[in-house]
Amino acid sequence: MIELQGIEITYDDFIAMNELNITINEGEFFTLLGPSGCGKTSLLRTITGFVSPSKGRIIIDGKDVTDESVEKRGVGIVFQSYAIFPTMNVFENIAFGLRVKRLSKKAIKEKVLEIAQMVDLSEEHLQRNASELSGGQQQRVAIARALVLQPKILCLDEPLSNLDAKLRNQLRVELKRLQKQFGITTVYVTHDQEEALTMSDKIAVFNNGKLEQLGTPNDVFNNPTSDFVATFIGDSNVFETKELATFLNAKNLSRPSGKSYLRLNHVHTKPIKEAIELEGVVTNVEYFGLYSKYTFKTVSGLTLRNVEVDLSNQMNIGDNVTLYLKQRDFIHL
Amino acid sequence: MKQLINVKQWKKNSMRLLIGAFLLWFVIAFLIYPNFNIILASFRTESGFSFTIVRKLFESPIAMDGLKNSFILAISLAITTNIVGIFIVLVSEYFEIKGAKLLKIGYMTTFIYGGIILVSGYSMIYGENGIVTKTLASFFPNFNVQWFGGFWAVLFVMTVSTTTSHMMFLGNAIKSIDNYTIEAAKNMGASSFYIIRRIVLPVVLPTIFAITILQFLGGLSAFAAPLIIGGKDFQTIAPLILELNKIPGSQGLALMLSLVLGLTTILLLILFTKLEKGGTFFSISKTKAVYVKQKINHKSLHIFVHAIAYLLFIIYVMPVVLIIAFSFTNSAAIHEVKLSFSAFTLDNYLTVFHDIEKITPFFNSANFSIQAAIAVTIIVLLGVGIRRKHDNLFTQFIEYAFLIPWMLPSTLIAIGFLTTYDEPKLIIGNKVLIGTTEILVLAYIIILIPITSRLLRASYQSVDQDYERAAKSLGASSFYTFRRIVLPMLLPTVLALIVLNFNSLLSDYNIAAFLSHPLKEPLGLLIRRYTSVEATGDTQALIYVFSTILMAIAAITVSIVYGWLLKEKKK
Repeated sequence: MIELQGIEITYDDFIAMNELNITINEGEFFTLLGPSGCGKTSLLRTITGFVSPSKGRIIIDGKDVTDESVEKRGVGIVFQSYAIFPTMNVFENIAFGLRVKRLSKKAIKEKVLEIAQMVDLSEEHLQRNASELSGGQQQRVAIARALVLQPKILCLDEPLSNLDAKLRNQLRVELKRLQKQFGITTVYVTHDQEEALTMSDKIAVFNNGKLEQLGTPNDVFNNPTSDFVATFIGDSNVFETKELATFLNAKNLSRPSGKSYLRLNHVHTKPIKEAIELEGVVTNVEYFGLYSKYTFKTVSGLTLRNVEVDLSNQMNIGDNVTLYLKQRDFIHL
Repeated sequence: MKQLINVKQWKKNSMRLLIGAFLLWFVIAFLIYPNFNIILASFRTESGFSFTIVRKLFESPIAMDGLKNSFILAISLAITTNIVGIFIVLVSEYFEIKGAKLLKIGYMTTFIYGGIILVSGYSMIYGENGIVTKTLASFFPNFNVQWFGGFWAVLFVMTVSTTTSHMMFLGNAIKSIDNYTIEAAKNMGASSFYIIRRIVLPVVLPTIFAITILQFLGGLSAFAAPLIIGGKDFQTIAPLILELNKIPGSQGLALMLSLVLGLTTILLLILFTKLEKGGTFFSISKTKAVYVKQKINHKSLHIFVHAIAYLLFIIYVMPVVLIIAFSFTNSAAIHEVKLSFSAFTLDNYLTVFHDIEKITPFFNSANFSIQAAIAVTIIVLLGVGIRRKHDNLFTQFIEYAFLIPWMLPSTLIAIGFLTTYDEPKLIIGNKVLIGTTEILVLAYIIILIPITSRLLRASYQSVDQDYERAAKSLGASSFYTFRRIVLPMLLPTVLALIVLNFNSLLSDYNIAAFLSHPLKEPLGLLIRRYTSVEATGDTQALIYVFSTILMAIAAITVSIVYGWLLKEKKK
């Protein structure tokens, strides 16, 4: 569907994206994930046509669109701010692209009503002024406005980043539902790992203009291939592999150097089979409501953190505990 | 101890009463009474109160022509300044134009000169002895050298000289548009001009409406341009009021005309306030994309826009460049309108600075301006300060009264002073103000009050009241708190206002034409006197010298205020 071949993006001397080759399949929800300044937005803007790559080709549906102008690529965009035109009502906003295409009034009305129904905007909503919309409604208008032109691809640039936590969770579900309903190939930019993990079919993790890892959410979470991915996605205990060997008293670690990672959920306070046992004491407790995070200091001097979902298992600072770790849960990079 | 507190309290109360009484007296004596008196004086005849003056107005062909011309000018100006103003703002802020920064500086020359200097600058280029006229005459011997006069000339000069508000307000409005909305429209296939028409202009429309009303008012009360280049065929109300006021028996007509001018202004300003309140489209975006300049993709359009942009640049910059250049040439060169290195001289400046008589008007103006600029700041500080301490009907009344002059053209204010204080009046201790220099300073204070009050109030409001509460809780008196806490925080704005106000008065002609003291001629009158057709090379040189000095002062003012005082405040 979308092939990015050897894409390089530069701004004067600064390289925003380095020699990138990826393929996005039809109907996929593809997320570009990374911290601010990693090049993900530049890449999205290159796919949409607002930025020209200094090297490489962009192929959409087998057609080279690298030099094609924005409006001819068949790519719909939902901006971070939603960019709802403030001087137009909802209907006029959605109808904007159809009017540019000079469709008849009747056709415009039909199409707007049809798409509005699909994104759950009532006829009353259509007459409202843009300033009277809630964050969620603005998002639906922005999506409807992009989808009414029947693009092949929908690009979303951090559309949830400015909303409060509750609304963000709500809209995340809605966005995913709409994507499935339309079956449209979606390229989604975010810096929020939770968003990426919950919504995506595939995630491309970027750092400093370089692709760090490409894979399913399960892949990037459980099998990170770089230090950056291991620390950026999910919460981990990080160790120098060398010192870990002494602490764990385990001689058969695959690699003697580098770093090792252990996800918080892999540090257990209840006995499990074939585990390494470490004696320790609770040094800090963070209560999150649905779960708690604990920090322990082991007798051997190791600091470990875990996440405890079972709230019946409350511990206090100073409590003595036995920790159970499985050697195969360690990720050595 | 109790007695001591009582004495302190009494002192505090009497101080407040004194300030309140002073403000009340000032507002009534200079803001309300003279303007109210115009209405009474307009309808007062020897045989008592009568409306015959209204009939006289309708029967006077000169007055009716003046009114008609003023409205024609106002309507035309509202259209032409919008065309030019929107174009130059798009060129300097919206489109990607080569040399946009230079163009912007050129278009902003109206920030440093205006009124009588600007008009004299343009008449120097296009007037009978102007460089353009002489060049055209040398190519076409039958060319009418008096071509630059009347309606079209006034409209041209006023159009290019009043785009300041476009550059100030419209430029900012366009820059504040969310770039994502432009990209969204582009993504949906909209062309550059479709985006301007459907996205950009609707968002800035309230700003354009507001500017249009200001332009309309500017056209209606135009003074310097119609006076100098309007000629006999194109007389407008403001210069006519000045003329009629000098003719015995015609003062009533002058009053009536100023009343019409005042009433129209008030009506339009009410409309302006409504537009200002009602129609603003705030961006609903939570995060805006920083504005990016747009390319003009159409090749011939690209060339066309560049050509017009640079032509306008030349029109804007030429008077400034020529004024400065000719201020350094000898009278022969000025007379011949020929620039050459051999004609270069510093004599004009030496003459001005060595001849007491020639430099005196400059110092007169500087003296009046600095007095008015400082006095208005003190009066407004008192008003704004008392309003902050006591939110009651009296302080509200003072605050609104401070805005009265905003609704009245300066001509009306001047006439109000002339008709009111030409005989002893009890309210000012039975003094006559006509023939004193104080009347001019007072009138200057009055015209500066609204803008000073608005800006100082906004600045005052930005000072957190907790500072004052904290100082009070530490035992400081109100005055001490004001002096040590509030004033230092307001200081950049106060200084900026003094400098800006001083600069705006320095070359005033509109008020001075009515109220100046015959022996203390201000600079504006001198320049007007020298801008007549009969002026010789020598006298023209003086205009150029003064104009250059004034432009330099204005440029310094603008850089001090925006580059230092208000910038510091932002930090």
